Amino acid sequence: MSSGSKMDIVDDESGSSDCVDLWIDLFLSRKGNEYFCEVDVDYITDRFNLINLQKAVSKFSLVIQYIVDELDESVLEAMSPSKLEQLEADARKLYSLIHARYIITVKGLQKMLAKYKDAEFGRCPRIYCNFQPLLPVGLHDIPGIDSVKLYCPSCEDLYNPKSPRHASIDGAYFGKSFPGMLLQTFPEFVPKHPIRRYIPSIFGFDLHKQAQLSRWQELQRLKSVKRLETIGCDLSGNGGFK
Amino acid sequence: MMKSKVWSEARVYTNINQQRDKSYWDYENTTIEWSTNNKDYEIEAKVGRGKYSEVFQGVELKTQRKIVIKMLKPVKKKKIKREIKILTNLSDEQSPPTALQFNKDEYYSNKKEFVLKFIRPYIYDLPHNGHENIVQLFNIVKDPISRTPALIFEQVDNIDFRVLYPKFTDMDMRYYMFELLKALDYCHSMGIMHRDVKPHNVMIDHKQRKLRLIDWGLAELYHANMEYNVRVASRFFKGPELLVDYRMYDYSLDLWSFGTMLASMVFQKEPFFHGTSNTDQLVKIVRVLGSEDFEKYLIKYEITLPREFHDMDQYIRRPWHRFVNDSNRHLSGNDDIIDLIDNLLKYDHQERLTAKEAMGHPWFAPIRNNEYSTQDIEID
Repeated sequence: MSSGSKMDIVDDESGSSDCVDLWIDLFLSRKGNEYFCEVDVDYITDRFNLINLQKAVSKFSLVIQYIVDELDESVLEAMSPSKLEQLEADARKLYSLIHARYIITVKGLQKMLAKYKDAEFGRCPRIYCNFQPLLPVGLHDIPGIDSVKLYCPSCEDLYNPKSPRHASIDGAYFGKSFPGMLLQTFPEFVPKHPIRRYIPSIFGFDLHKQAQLSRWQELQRLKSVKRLETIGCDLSGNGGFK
Repeated sequence: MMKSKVWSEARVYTNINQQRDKSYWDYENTTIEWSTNNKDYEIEAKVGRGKYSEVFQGVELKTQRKIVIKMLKPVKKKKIKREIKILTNLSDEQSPPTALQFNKDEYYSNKKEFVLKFIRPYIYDLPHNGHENIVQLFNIVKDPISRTPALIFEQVDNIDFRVLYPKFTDMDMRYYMFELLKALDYCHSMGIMHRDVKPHNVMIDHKQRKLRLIDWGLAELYHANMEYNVRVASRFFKGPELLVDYRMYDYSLDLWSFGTMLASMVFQKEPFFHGTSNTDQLVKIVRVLGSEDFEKYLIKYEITLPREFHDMDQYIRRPWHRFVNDSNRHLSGNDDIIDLIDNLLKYDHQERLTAKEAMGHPWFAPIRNNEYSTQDIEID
């Protein structure tokens, strides 16, 4: 379960150094947590940001102190291993829930944008999306319902994360609003919609049903482009029109 | 080489290909002009597959008409050329020989005394539209990338014969079997034997009373005294000549297959000769036609039977009326149909009725007299 608690790792580093790794850094460096970004300590300690999260964990204040490394060593030393384990689990959960709120703030969006630009959430597997970087998204804001999904701004569809580590992360740790908020904030990062469609064929003959639908869709698209041009819409930009 | 030393020639249309230009029958030396634009057609559904092809129903985009796409599996170029040549020969003919005035002397072109004796007193001597009953080839296409050859055909609204045939009335059967004979007479008159006549290759659009003979993949051009491969036709429809390895066969092979189809329809026994192997197929035939006539046939053509037949039992000829029962009596209970089947299912291919003779048989009299009315029958 929680194999590498803070205490273990500190012990591993032979305790010789005064410079102890911060809990947040340890959390972010754990395998599988690559989707998460660093939440500012200022944000975490501002109670205003934590309204309605108090009931998410027991001993809320203690967990907060633990996350921001302000808990006295003696308090931790007095705890039983099982209590420490519970504290670690609570800290991860609470940090992740705060994370969901943070990443839709101005600073959070900036940090997530950098990760998106580096394709840290992976790339769309759809061929005609041309390796478009993905964005993490939850289908629910309440934890414990469903795992995180990946949204492709090009084909506007959802995908399961490839790695099982990522696929088991709770979707609520990113939330329903994140991709929409990011793309609204940075419209220049909305990719152009892909037009090409795949039509299955057998020895060079297209399948009629699929080919017919594709032709109809293309016709509707052209009609729509024409209509938008006549009302003076600028279609040169990304992500459709405004 | 064939084991038999006795030669055989077709009774009719014997030298038809000799009278034609070399380009008509020399399919190995033809160059096929493939269309490369397979974007003209699209696939709707898979409708069948054979040993040599995959068949799809599709649409021609320009006209929106339904078509059939037959994609050929990789086979010898020669076989593809043969099928295409035969289909184009049959489709392109501007004056179908069977649509012209009948000339009896020309028709019975084999003047040898021992075949002339098989001429029947009845024959259909009117021009007919049998050429319309051959499936029409619209186009030949080759995908430039996969290089898969595909043949584009007319589409027929066919119902599976196992569903359709049991619904046929006596008159329906006479009508469609007459239509099939017209198709056979036409292709024979064009010097072509189909070599795979069976219900699966007869498309019937019952609403339009339309019949089309399809799948010309095994068809061959007939040349007198030529030896042909006996590994043709589907087991239940194989004539005795194929099963005893007599290779100098001719158009009359198709009349055997036709006969087995007819017998299975009227006696409601599908298939009529149900062999479990090629060897067993011959046994099933001999059990009905009898060992006595079989031996006469072997002696006539000096056929030495392959080893696997050496321990075959002796069978007494089973009279046709024994196949009549209460459930098929409405179809089989008349002397005409028994006589027709008897004259088609003959061991000796020379003795079988020709297509035209069969069309002149008394059983088809109501069809010839236009007594078949398409309005009489309810279709569901």
